[in-house]
Amino acid sequence: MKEFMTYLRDYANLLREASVWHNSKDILAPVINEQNIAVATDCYIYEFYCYISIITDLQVTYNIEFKKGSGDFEYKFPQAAADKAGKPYFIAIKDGVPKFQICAGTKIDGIFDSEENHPDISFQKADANDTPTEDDLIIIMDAKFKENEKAKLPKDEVYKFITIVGLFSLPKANSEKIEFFKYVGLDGNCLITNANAYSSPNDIRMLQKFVIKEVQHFSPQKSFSVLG
Amino acid sequence: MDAISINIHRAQVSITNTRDLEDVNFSSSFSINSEQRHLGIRDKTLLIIAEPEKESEDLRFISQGKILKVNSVEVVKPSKEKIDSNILNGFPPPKDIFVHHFDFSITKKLTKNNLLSDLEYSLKEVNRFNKPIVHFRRQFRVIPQDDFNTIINGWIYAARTVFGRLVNAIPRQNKLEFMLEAMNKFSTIDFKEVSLQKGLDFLYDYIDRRILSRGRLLVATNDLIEDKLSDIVPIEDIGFRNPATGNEDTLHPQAQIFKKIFELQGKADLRKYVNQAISENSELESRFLQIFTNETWPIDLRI
Repeated sequence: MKEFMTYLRDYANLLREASVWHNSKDILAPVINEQNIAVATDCYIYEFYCYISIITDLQVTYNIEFKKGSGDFEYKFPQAAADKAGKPYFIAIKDGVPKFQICAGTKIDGIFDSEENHPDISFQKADANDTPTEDDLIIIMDAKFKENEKAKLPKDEVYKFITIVGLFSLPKANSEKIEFFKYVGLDGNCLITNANAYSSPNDIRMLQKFVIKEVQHFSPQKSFSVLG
Repeated sequence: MDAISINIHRAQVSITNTRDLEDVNFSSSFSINSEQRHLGIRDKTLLIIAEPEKESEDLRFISQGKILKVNSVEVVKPSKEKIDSNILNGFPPPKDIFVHHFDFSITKKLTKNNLLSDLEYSLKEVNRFNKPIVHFRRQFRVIPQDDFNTIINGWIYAARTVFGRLVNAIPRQNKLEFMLEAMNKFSTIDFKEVSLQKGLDFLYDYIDRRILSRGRLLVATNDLIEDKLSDIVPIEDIGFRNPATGNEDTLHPQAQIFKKIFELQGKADLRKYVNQAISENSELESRFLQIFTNETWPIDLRI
């Protein structure tokens, strides 16, 4: 019992530390209610995991350079959507030539001012400036985290992503080809999730019609698969 | 009254060395100052000697003993200055103080699970889990028979201890959310009706789903940066900043904490270890189940 009590004490102390961010004291798992239902899926921790996973995959083909942000954002990525100016991002370089930028949560100007959208991950042209427009886009990705990995992406999230892709008039003709390595199927506008895709692997006609992909089971414990 | 515990930092105990109180057959005397003329402490009342731990909020139950003799009661009248000062300040007049003197002897040294922090979830009288020592701050307190037996034997109610330790380790917001989800799951607002074992299973799921799932992502992200990007980004500085609140957090130290949790899980899986502890402790678990039959889950929302 003594050994068990020590184990339990250690476990509880670590859990106490882990469940609150050590700097800000914000809680790690924000409480979900009807008013902030978005919190359930817009998990910046998952979005960042997807972002870093993709960057490290691109490293095989490209030379990856870090463009640090400025001021408070030098090495800090915005927890929620933000303007691109002053935020850090990565640049993919091949044969000494910058090929594209990989940005996290950046706001992109579309054709309608009323429709503000900021994809979780955006691949932007190498010469895109601090106020990117849809013309700077190559592909976009959104990351949806489900605490229940057995869940399925809901219809409305897939439809919403299709709309955003459409608003940005993606995919663009003649855009830079992104050369992934292990993530080779991710070359397109992807809705990424750790859970199951909305579409059935046997019927991806809708995904093909709207030229989007669903990436399912994308998590540290699993092997992902791409639909579309 | 069957049993009391005395706090040796508060009650006046005649000893030269605290160690004396660990010696079986050691006898001495103590006194308690009270506004009450009768305390209900009699010859042969059982005694637990307790001492607050230095530099922590914990308390050690040192030994078991008994009252040998109840001595005379001294009456201390308040001083004239005190009476005058109370009148001047509009306070009620000071009361007489009764100083109760007792002789006692030590019958057993307590060694097993004798810290309040070991026993807090096994004692029925304890409900301030944020600061259980408040229950023992006074000079003495009455201890019900069940709690007395628990203390002198160092018995632990494993299921309740695990539940309490874990649930009170998570932030208050998450505790409230857990309770709401549990109400929904078990279709009741009265957790008395739901066994601790069922509550524990639901609690593990909650912690895994809400907190550890994020931890696994943080650890994986941290490892990717460390392994592949450390040449171009400083791992110690990478993190998040909330544009709305200005709060910022660094990923690496948080991932390190989760790594330790997963290491601990790797050594012994929490659920399995708990189940093993409970089954090895089954006789005591049934005893405690009887004692705590009308008690709800030990969730303290003050923490």
